[in-house]
Amino acid sequence: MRLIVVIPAYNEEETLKKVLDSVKKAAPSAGIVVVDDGSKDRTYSIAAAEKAIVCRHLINRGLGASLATGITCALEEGADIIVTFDADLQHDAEDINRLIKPIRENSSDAVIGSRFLNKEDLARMPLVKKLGNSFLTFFTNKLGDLAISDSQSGLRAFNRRAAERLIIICDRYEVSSEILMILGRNNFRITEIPMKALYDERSIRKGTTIRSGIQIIVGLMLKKVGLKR
Amino acid sequence: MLDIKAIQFFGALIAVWLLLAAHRFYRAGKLKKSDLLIWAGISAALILISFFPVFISLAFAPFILGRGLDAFLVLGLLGAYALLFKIYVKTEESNRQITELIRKLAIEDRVRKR
Repeated sequence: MRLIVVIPAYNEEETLKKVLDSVKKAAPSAGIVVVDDGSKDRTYSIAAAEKAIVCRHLINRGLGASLATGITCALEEGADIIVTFDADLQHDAEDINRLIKPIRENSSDAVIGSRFLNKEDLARMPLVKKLGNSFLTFFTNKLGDLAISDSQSGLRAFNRRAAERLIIICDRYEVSSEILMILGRNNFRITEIPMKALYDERSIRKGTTIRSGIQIIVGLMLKKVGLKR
Repeated sequence: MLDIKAIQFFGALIAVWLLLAAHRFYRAGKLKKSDLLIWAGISAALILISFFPVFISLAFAPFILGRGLDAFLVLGLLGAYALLFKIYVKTEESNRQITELIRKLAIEDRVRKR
């Protein structure tokens, strides 16, 4: 089964090389698609120098747009399993193999890495993030009739059938909730596994902020009432 | 002789500015002739209302809001909301099209190093 890891990246010159090295080490046979989302730094040249497929957005379009580009590209490259992986060193590449196991065994169509199932890591999550994520997860579960513990996780895996149904419309951070809602609406089997989350000052700064949290909620509500496609 | 107040001058000033801006956009090819005519009409109406406010009362007499100016403002506000919604929908659609274009280019021109 062909595995492709999709890495959306925006101004990630500091961490991208390390992320790519760790993914190649943990999953040597996997293909890698890096989506450079109009970065102003050396993200594109770093990605292009590596053994990876690089899609470059000419202008910044947001996380959702990058994921949609990466998933579309991975499907064109013949992926059977697609993993989405953050470029800010927040994820541990060793989790990839555990993440795709339920899909390989055909017991799941999509697997979400949850930071809320790993009690040790959860204690390290900054309080603001913990509260924000819990609120957004509650909101996503209510809107999508789901029972997920971490709706904003960037570490996910899909089989080809599920990935083909992911018609992502939200360009920005709402994408994490949108993906789950699409999966739920199409009755795909979703599994969650505990994942390691590595926090440093940079990843905390770049992650979902209170402002983007509010934008996510507003975006999801507009989508729900049909004012946003 | 007309008793002209500052607010009337202000209204007329906005109308003239609107007309000049519309004309500039038209000459730059950013506005169609029909749009220029619409904005010219709006400017003319604004000038007329500014110097002869009685026209508003006459025009809005069928409405039960009493004073014509009140009806004018309420309808203007509703029109502004409608316009805002229309702009929002158009912006959303434009954003979606831009993203689709950017995605198509990114996938077609993808770089691959083996």
